[in-house]
Amino acid sequence: MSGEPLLEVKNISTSFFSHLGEIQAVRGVSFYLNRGDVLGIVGESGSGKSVTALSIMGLIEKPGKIKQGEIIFNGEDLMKKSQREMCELRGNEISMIFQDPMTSLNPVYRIENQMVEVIRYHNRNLSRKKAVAQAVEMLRLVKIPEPEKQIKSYPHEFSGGMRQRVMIATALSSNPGLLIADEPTTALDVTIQAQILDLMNDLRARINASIILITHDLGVIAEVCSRIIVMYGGTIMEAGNERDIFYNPQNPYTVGLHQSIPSNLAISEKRLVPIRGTPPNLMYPPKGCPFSPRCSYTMRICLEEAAPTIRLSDTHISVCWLLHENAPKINGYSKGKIVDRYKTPSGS
Amino acid sequence: MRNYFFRRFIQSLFTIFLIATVTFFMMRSIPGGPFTRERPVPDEIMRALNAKYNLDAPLIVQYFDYMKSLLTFNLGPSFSRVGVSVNKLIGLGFPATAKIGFLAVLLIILVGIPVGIVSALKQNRPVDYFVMFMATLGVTIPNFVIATLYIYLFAGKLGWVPSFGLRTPWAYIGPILALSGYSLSFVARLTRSSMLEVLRQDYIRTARANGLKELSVIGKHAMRNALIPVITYLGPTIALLMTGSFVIERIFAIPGIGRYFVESVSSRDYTVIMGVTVLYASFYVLMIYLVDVLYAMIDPRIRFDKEIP
Amino acid sequence: MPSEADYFGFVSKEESQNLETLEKSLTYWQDAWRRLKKHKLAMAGLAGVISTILFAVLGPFFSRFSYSDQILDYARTPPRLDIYEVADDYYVFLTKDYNLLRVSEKGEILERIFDTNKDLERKAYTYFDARRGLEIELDFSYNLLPGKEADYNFTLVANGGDPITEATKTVFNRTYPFGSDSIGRSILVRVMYGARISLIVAFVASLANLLIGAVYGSIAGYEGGRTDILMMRFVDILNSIPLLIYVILIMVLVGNRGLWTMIIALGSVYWVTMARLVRGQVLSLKGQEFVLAARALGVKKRSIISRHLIPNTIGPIIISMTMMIPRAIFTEAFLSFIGLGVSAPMASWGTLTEDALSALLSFPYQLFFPSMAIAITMLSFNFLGDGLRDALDPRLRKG
Ligand SMILES: Nc1ncnc2c1ncn2[C@@H]1O[C@H](COP(=O)(O)OP(=O)(O)OP(=O)(O)O)[C@@H](O)[C@H]1O
Ligand SMILES: [Mg+2]
Repeated sequence: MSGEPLLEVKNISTSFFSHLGEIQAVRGVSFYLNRGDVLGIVGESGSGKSVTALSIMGLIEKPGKIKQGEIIFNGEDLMKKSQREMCELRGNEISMIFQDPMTSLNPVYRIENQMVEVIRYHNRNLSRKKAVAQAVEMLRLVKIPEPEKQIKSYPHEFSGGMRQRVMIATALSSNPGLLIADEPTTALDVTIQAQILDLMNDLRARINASIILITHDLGVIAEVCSRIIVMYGGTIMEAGNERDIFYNPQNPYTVGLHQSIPSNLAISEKRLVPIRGTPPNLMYPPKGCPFSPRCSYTMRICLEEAAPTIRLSDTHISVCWLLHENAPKINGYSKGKIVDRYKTPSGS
Repeated sequence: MRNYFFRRFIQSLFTIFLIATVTFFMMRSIPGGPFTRERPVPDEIMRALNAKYNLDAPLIVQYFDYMKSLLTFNLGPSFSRVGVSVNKLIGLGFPATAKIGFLAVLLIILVGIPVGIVSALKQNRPVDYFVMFMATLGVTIPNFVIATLYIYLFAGKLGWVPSFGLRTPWAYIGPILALSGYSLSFVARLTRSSMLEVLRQDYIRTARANGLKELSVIGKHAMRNALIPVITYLGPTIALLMTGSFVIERIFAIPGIGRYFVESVSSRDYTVIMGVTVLYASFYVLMIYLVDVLYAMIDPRIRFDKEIP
Repeated sequence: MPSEADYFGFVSKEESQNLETLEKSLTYWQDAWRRLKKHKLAMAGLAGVISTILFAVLGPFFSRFSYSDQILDYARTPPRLDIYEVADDYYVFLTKDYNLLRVSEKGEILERIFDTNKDLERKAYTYFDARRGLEIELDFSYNLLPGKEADYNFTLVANGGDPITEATKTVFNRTYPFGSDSIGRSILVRVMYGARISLIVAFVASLANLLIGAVYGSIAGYEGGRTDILMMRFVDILNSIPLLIYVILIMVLVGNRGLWTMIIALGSVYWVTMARLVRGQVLSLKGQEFVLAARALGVKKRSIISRHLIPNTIGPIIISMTMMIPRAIFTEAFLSFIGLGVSAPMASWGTLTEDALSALLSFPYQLFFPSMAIAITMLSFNFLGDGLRDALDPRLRKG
């Protein structure tokens, strides 16, 4: 537990209203992030991680809409801010980098042009020359070789890893308090992945930023994150610190995630078991627990009613009926106290 | 990059050469020859005519002669209009065709593109619906229908404009509208859909995530990418406006190249058909070449991607 | 009402997965159809296309004229008739050529009443119905000769009675609902037959393009390597040529202006897009065979075919067909319009508009109906195509 909260997300729900119906991408998600911390958000594809991040950024676009909730950043509710105020905030105090570095840079402008535009936008007194110098400095920081020369390149002349570095350099150029990294390494190969993660960790320490690291790969976040949220079907399934999630997972979904990835941390000697079935259709989310159709311990109540939030320790909560005191005892799962899910920022 | 432009230029010249060749042999393979009329022409005269127009030479010689004169931009004499060269006919028709064509292109660029952008930015709002409704009408109603309805209404019923010719400035409105109607609507639709597509791209989200104002996101980051397909379409369209003019010039009785072409089609005036075909085709090929050049300048990726060994 | 204990009992796999299986049972085509049905404009387009086809196929069976039946006496009657009651229950209609027609009160044309005397100087004609002994005098000098301004253009006098200046009523033309043309053929019937010609040309030419394009594209894609490069170069060259001019040249070249000339000209030229499309699909299909081999027995072949192959190939082909057909209709009309259409007495929508052009100002209805037919058909196909694109585009499936 370090520092005071920088970001508090309270019970947000975000939907997309397509012509076929409402896609409830995020349904009542709450969490908070302390200054200087790294928060990991894991979950399968389609579990609502990106939508959560975009909601924080205020970048949900039509036909999407944040239906409810509060997003408190530095003591201010971002939901109440105007579009202009959000522009000031974005790229300045909160930055975000995306999954696919290949498509996230504008193909028709040079790196220099794109970086300088952002730098000067947030620091209008800066001369062009100084902005270029700062951009070069940032590129050097993210370990791009020969930055003075490379800055003149077009994005397509860079490899994926290099582009992601450019993205990070741009995102960090204004010393943001919060960096949201949405699967920054998914599109890269394994060695590059490690380098980028190291780089981010390194930079975080240097500029004292908080990071939200989104990934669908538990292995990626093991070393970097102080706290981890597991998402599924637009809701939080489990939250806790590294020890809780890796050594004492208390949700069948988290356990499933562990078994489906090659990991030397958890149940390493066992065979890999993919979670059977497919993620729920968010247009008609199951009325009970979203994981119930795929769970190995589905009880009747799991199909009928949303699971309660159950506190297991100071740091650890899980959303699962199995931990309810009336549920049958299963090896490896303990019992805890039901708490009000909306009032309790998960993981505190 | 210069290398690429050069190679494309040579390719274009080759295409024009192919077009001229194919056109030549197509016209020469028409049974009966250019002087076949309903009433048979006496042998004597036929022979004299053939000799005069060099039609009695072997085909291959004729071909080389034709190519040679093409190199000096000489399209030969008209068969059905005695004593008039094809160059002369084209020279006569060119000013009217060019004026109408140029104004139509201007209209397409200055109206079609902005309207498409506005429509994309106001997606699913009344403005968008209105623009798309008009544009859909524009691409579905044939230009000759637009032209005739226009004449019926404004020249016939209301008497506001002359129904033919280009004698007053007002007289230009109808031909320009009819000529550009389809392309104007198409460009508006294309700009809109291309803009919407670009706005979905990751780099636009990046620009927004970096806090850039909408003006920059749209005006700089989206615009340049969105215009790429529009430019690709515009090149050949500018050339195709000329074929559109076939009908428009006929309906509005404008003495342009298109009207001469249509007349030569019905009177089977082969040299005129051939000349105008080669001229249009070359213009078309040239426009496509220009588009490629422009394209490479707008999109840096092209210079590398399109280099096929 | 199950007890507390029941709630916390485990359920079987089948039961827990019930919900899931219910949701994913929709096949690709059901899904596409569901999307299409939600697309209002596309459904309107589909309705338009179907009614146009019905109109062309069935329409002529319900009409008493054929496309070439001409009744010169009934030339140039408009769809709406201003009729004058010149005697008891005796209605007449005057055409713009000053032919006097006896019509019924409901708007059926019964017979022509011939003129017995034409005074062109005084602009007065005399007509005589011998059977009824009725003489009708027409004076149409008003507003034509100096000093005869009036708010009517002509008067009718029957057997020396009072001059009639105002139409008794305006009725629909029952005999020729869309009016008749300059030699007394029913425009409705000609528009119906025109629909046949235009649609046949469009469908057959599009099919020919589809066939050529598919064969060409799949050979290029399948052979790959140098053949592919060469074939695609040729396509590139074709693509940089104004094809319409070549359609015109082919039409001039073949000379004989029949249905087949038109089909050949249109069907042999516009296959480039299709060839590209099919080649791309074949290339990706080749890739999928590797996937199949790699996955060995793990994945059901049928599911790969129904999930990827068919949607990816048939979808774009259907879409591009719906776009090609209106284009062919348009081109056919265009060619007819510059005098290269099917020859008389056959008629397509294009030749009908062309015929109407010369008398546009006096007889606008002759142009109106064929133009409307073209516009409605093009609009329907366009709407349908747009809707199909939305419905069949696999990229949108995830959403
Ligand atoms: N713009 C949108 N329009 C409609 N639906 C959307 C949109 N964006 C996201 N969704 C839906 O919201 C759900 C959650 O998507 P989200 O992108 O948050 O998943 P994710 O957890 O980030 O997955 P991934 O690991 O693939 O990035 C998905 O079902 C997706 O279909
Ligand atoms: Mg995501």
